[in-house]
This record gives sequence, C-alpha cells and structure tokens, in this order.
Amino acid sequence: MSVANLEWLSVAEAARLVHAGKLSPVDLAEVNLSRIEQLEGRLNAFITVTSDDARKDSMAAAGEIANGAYRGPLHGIPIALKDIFGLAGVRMTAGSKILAENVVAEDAEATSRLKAAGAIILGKLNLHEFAFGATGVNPHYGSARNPWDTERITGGSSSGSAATVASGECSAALGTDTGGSVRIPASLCGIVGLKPTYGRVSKRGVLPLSWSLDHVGPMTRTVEDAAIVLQAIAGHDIGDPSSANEPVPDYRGALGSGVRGLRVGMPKQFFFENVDAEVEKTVVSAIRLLEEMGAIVIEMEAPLIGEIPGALTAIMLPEALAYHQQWMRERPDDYGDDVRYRLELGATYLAVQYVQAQRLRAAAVQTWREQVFSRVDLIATPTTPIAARRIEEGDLQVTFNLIRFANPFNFLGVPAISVPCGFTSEGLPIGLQLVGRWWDEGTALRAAHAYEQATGWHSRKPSL
Amino acid sequence: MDVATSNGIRLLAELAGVRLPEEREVALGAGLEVTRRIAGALAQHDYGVTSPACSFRAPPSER
Repeated sequence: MSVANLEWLSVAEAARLVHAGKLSPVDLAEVNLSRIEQLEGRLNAFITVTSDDARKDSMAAAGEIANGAYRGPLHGIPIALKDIFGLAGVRMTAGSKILAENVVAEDAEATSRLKAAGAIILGKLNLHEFAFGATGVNPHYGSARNPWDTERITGGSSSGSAATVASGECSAALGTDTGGSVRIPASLCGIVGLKPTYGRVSKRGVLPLSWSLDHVGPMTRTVEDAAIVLQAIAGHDIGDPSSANEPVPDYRGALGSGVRGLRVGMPKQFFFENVDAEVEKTVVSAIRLLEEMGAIVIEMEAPLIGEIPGALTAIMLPEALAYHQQWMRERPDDYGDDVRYRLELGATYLAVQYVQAQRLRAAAVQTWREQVFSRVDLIATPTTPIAARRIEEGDLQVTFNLIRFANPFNFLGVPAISVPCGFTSEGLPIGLQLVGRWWDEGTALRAAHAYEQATGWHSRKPSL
Repeated sequence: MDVATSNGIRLLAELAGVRLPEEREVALGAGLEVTRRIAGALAQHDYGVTSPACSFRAPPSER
C-alpha cells in the first residue's frame, strides 16, 4: 500500500493490516505524525502532540505484535484525546489559560483502557475552553478549523477531535459530550460521533463540566471504528460514582444486522422545526432511505420537549459554576468572555430550581421510556439544524442553534450517534442523529452502519 | 437596568462566590430574563412524588 493512502485508513482497515503483519505500527504512527506536521498550521487541532511517546509506544506495539501478543483491533493504532482527558506526565490544559501548565500525574480511566487495548496516544486536542461551548472558538489557543472550509467553525466543544479525524491526521479520537459536544462537531466536520448512555464510559480523570450531564464518547470516520473504540472504553469503573455496572455487549459483532423491522421514530415537533432547508431535506431523505431499507418510520411526539432544554440549563450552569467557583473568585479575568459569562449565569439559579430540574429529569426519563421507547427502537433527527458557520459569526445565536437537537439526549441519558448524511450546496457536511434506548448503543450503531454502508458519505474527503 | 435588578444580581453573585465587576452586570441582567423563564417553567411542572434521583436502568420487566 502506498504511503499516500495510509492516512485515510479506518481503524478497522489499519488493524487488519497490522494484525496480518502488512503494516507496522511504527510506520502508521509516522504517517499520522507527518500528516499532523503538514496540516497543523492550518487546522490547529492539537494543543500538545506527544510525538516522542507515540514513536516509542508504536515500537513497543510492533515488538509485541511480532512476538504474537496481539491485543486486538486498537493494538498499534494511533488515537488522540481531547485535552480534558488525563494523560500521565502530559499537560492537560482544558483549552484554558488557567490550566496552561497543568501536568497531570495519572491517566484518565478511558486513557488507561485505550492504552491497555494497545492504542498509541498521539496527543491532546484543542477544544472550546473548559468544554463549555458549542462552537470550538478558543481565545487562548486559537480555534480548531473545519477541514471542509478552514474559515468555518468545527463545532464544539470537541473541536480538535473532529478536525483531526476529518482531516486524516488520525483515525480516531475521544471527545466529551455534555450538551452535544461529541455529536455537534462530528456533524459539522462530516465524521461519526457517539455519545453512549450516561454511565457507560468512566469519566474518572476527565475534567468535568457538569457531572450530571457529562459523557465520554468516540469520534471516528466510520461507524465500525466507533464500535471498536467504544468496546475498548466501555464498562463499569468502581472509581467513578456515575459509572454503571451494566453488561457491555459485542458492539462490532452486531453491526451487520441491517435495519429491517426496526421502528424509527421521527419527532416532527421541535426536531424538525426552524431547521435550515437544506439540512431538513437531507435528513428527511436519509430517514426515507432507512425506510426503503426496511425500517418502519413512525411520526411521533417528543414528550416534555418544551421543558427539557431549560431544565438542562438549570442543571448544567450551576454544576459548572460549582466546579469553577474558586477560579472564578481568584482568576476571573483568565477566562474567555463567553465561558466567564456562562459561569456567571450559573449564579442566577437557586437550589430549588436545580432540584426541580433533576426531578424533571427523572420524570422525563420515565415518560420517554413509557411513551417513546416502548413504541420505537430509535429516534431519527438532524444532529444540528445548521451546518458549520463562519468563525467570525459570533457565539450566542450560533450556539443556541447548534445545541438544540443534541442536548435533550444528554438530559435523558440515552445513547445518540451522529453519522454523515450529505452535504450542503456549499460543500459542508450534514449529520443524521440516531438515538437509542438506554444501554442500547448497539441498535444505534447497527442502524448508523447500515445507513453508512448504503450511502458512502463517509468516504468523501476534504481537499486540504 | 433598574436598581432592584442590579442589587439582586449582585446578591446572587456574592452568594455564589462570584466576583462581578459593574461592567458585567448588564449582560448578566439580560441573562436573568432567561433564568426567570426557566424558573417559572420549573415551578409550574407537576412533579407528583418524583424524587431527584434519576435511574437509567431498565425496570426488571424489561431486562
């Protein structure tokens, strides 16, 4: 295989070659590092590249594999981490000035699990400051750029994770999602982003934004790769109080079952209102294709949807302020203006509103279980109502639009995946969001995989 | 912004341990309108006996 093609290998393709001895992890890491060197001046996806460790670890992986100690499909595969995941001995900035020199002593649990699976960590990725924003615009490290149009936002907060995967700098990254921060940038950059069920993946060693709403998830170019990465990081962690002791199924093994007979809910109320016309048309076409492939599409209501976004805000803002309180007291001027404003807003919520919002969450989970997921296996919506906007366009209205269709599922805690489903006339990616029942990431992955294989949008590449 | 709103914002910020320079009060005042709407909606909801503890586990009948 020519070196020119290697940067676009999926995790699964690279793993097959590595396992067969046709591709060395050392060469694969060099391909990624060279691509990063070539593109970073334009993309700004990384805050820290750990080249030396990646080279050393790839040599170790090559040795193990040569000796017959192959660990599985991530062995020798480069992967990068949003810069709020602990990586021992490396700084974790959270995209902030406040933590610019913060070197952590321990790996996050998700980092440890990737390392145990044999993955090669390439470095730490840019993000919206403290993961508290949906555009990815960062005043301290510069904004990550959208590979499809470098004058546009990637979306956030996992901005660098989306940019690096979409550009072929590496084939997989980890992100976090509190109000859409995996799925929004995945949609805007034309890749796959999966937010698993709340509690499916440990958050130990990941800098929190909002404990009740934070999720860790994979960002990849294919659905199969998302399944591979999720398999490695999912599962109970006794060190994370929010981690659930639920069985982890074989995600990759169930991918090929198709969508025949799956009941797909289409909530026209809210999720198809005030949507850009091109986005709506594209997503509706995607849902119709699922129907042609054998899914049963059911138009349905979205219960409590008028109250969910406000209740989510009443949880997220006070929790974020609680975490940041000391820095807000001692170093408020070191925050970017938008993040500081959101944290200040957290002060305007009283405890009674926070508790009522948590009660509404419990009630909404029960209501959706009884009224939605008893009738359908999945829900299909646009991931975002708009495609990527220009970086200079500002924060408030763009953010409001970006998070609208993603954050209800953080509130509900259900798994949700964004898969590329087409492009605007300006060549910007559009994402289809598929939402499953609690603990059933498998059905969302299976439907997303079937759609992806039927369309091939994932094989389009930005010209960089 | 009226004096009562300004005083209210300063009190909330102080109680939350946030230092709030005068020039940031106006922006926060605008945000307070959103908080009021959300607080109003949360106060109107009928929660019945629902507790704030949220379980994502399926009920035994679905396992």
